Amino acid sequence: MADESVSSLFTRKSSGLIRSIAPHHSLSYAVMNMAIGGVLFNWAVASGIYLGINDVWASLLFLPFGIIPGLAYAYMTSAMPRTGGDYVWTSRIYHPIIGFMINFYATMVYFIFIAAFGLFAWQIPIVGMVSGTGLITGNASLVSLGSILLQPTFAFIGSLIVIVAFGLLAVFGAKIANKIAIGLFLSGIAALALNLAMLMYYKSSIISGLTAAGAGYKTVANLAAHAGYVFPGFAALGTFLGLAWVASNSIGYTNVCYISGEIKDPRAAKSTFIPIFGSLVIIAILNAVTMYYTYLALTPAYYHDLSYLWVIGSSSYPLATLAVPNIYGMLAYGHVNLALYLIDGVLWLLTFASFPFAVTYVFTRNIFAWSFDRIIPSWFTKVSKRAGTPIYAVLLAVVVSIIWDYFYMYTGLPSLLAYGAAGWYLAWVIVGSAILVMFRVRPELLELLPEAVRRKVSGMPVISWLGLGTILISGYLVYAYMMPGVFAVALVFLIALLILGPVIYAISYYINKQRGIPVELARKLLPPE
Amino acid sequence: MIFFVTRLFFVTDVHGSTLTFKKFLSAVRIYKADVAIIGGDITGKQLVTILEEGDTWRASFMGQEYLFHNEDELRRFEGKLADQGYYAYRTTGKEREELMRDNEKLNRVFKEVILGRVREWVELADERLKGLNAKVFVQPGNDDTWEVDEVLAASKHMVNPWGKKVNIDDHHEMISLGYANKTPWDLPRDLPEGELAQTIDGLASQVEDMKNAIYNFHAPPYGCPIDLAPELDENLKPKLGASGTFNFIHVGSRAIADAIAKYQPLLGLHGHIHESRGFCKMGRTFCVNPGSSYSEGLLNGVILELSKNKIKSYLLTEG
Repeated sequence: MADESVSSLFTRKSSGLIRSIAPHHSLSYAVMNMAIGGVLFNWAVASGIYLGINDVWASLLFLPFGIIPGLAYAYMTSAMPRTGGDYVWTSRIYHPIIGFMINFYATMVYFIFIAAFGLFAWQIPIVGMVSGTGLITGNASLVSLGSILLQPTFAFIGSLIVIVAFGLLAVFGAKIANKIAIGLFLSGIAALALNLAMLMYYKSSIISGLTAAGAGYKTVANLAAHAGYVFPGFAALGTFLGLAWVASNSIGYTNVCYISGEIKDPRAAKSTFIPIFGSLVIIAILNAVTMYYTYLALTPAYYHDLSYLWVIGSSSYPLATLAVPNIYGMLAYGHVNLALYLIDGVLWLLTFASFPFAVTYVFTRNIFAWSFDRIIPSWFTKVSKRAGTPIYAVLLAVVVSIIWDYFYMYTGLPSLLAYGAAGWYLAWVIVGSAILVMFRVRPELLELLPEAVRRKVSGMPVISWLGLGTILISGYLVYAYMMPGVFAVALVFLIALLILGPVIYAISYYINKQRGIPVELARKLLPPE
Repeated sequence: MIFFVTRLFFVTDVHGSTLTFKKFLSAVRIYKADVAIIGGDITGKQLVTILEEGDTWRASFMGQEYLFHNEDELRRFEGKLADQGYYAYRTTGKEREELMRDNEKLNRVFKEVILGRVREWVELADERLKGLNAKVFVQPGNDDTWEVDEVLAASKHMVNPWGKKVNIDDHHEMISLGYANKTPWDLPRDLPEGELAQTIDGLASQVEDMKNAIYNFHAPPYGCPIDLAPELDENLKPKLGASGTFNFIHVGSRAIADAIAKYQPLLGLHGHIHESRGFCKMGRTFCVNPGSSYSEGLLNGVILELSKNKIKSYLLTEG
């Protein structure tokens, strides 16, 4: 049969040749891998940490930053579409131990986000609905209960319940969850739209309510000034540094690279390029719109002052009912319509629940790959016959998430998130370096890439320039996350995690060799002659 | 006491990629394999026409236009295509128009280039396997036309085990079938499950020691994680699930699954689903699919060390 759209290429009747997925389908996959719920808390962190950040502009400025690594990933994937993404490129270009190191590291970082989402799911919509109902109905007991439930011990237990519930759903409810997952994603859009609509509609009464609760404009400004902070207005430096928090919200936008099809032609690349850039644009717009209306309702100075008090853990932070200054919890101060408030809370909870489902595919794929490579025991690939899900892989995710959840008790959420995101982009620095040096170290891999990126500019192929760009941008993001302050415990933990990967690899290598398994052959490049 | 161990190297779905076939031949030596097997689907799927235009040749491939001024440039390009599993075909503009209209003519051209490549491989293998003490088996799969068998039969060092029982060593018998259960593409070597079951039973009856037997069946057994493929719609586009990911479904053969459950051989060697690299146990039978990355020039395989009554070790490879 002649494929007329590519005039030199003829295809015979044979199995397995499937057309690439439509760009809009891969776009939905890409967006679902990013966490819409992040808009509720990322900006509280960024606004409190980075002096003068303009959250709206920061949302949009990340776009050009995200494009370079996105292009690098998209081109590398078009050449090596189905073989494990950055794990395999780095293994082939450097050494399998390096590939495993970054893949293990990135997977562990995913578990940090699951832990964080467990915490946020507890603190923002769950406890928010309790204390918010109390505020709206004038029930002081519920308000007190909400404050109690936010204390670290209860937050830990509550988030534990949420994480285990996510895990159980992932194991036993995967089939059902897959059917409703698009609904979970759309609930994020609905939650945000409803939240912003109520914020604007009830703006005046929200401000009045906050003032009555001792968190009015002047009070908060004075408290912040007393704590050493005066909102300076918007500043370019703060904005450029703070855009890192859009980056943390965008983590996962390149995961679409793992689902490309068998046919390698430029038209198929649309299924990769469109979702990468499309998802970046969508998340940038969602963040920008959220912060635009947040500023409009609350004013930038107020939001920044409040965020500062929260992020430094000040005892003067005036909103005991809000573990994180967030626009959902603030609605309750405006005595908004209770039914709408609760509906919004449920929608936000579903949004938080959707994130672990979206990332389950990525981390279980990684765990399977490690098991097939004999790095971890093969029983991790066991699939529950009843549920059809990899039960031990999900269990591992739950256990590690709980460990990170416990770690929060000693470091606090902002640093947990910051170091998680920093870790992710540190892994990208290493991947970027592999892409950079590929043309020297493994020139035959370069041959697999499209001509557009094999072409040399100033002696180096375009793909290598993209690798260099990935290093610089990712390195900048790591710096931006760490810049506000280095938390020794968190830093030590992350470095230990980076070393843990190669240690696990070395131990498994030794054990396999003792068993007589020729592991040195696993990724040995075979010569054709 | 002498411990008996046979090292078996299994690959599958090389789909016309000369680079991966050459790597297979190298692997026999480098991996020190006693037995090496290609489990099916050895022919490619796509043909690239190269147009003669006076003193030059022109081709369009992967969205890029190529112009060749001499034979060396052209051969390099054709070699690159062959490495990725494509067939290069030099032709004229007029003939290309005919190929676009005339399916029968296109099929004849495909047959010519496919068999030509298999002949090249047979010659190459006979040269490179000379002197090696390994048993090499190459079986067609459901994608491969029946004419391929005749070309393979001419090989001095490779054996086509299709439909036969062979002894790979003193303790292990292997039965081989390159059929697949019916696919959406309805290929000549696709077989309905009922007929597949009968064929398997016929072969299995020849096995003397089932607990040490190897089933070299191109299609994976249904229900094992090595048979997961994206669900397709009527236009052969992958269906996306509600979560935006592919809907992976089991597409393996129920007849093969039933046979493995019933006979419980030692080992199942499978391919067919390139993206379903992995292994599973069905009772006492260890089933493995090394997957395929032929288009990237990578040879996916599995090294197994077999002793009497057990699989001593296994290792998925990517070389």
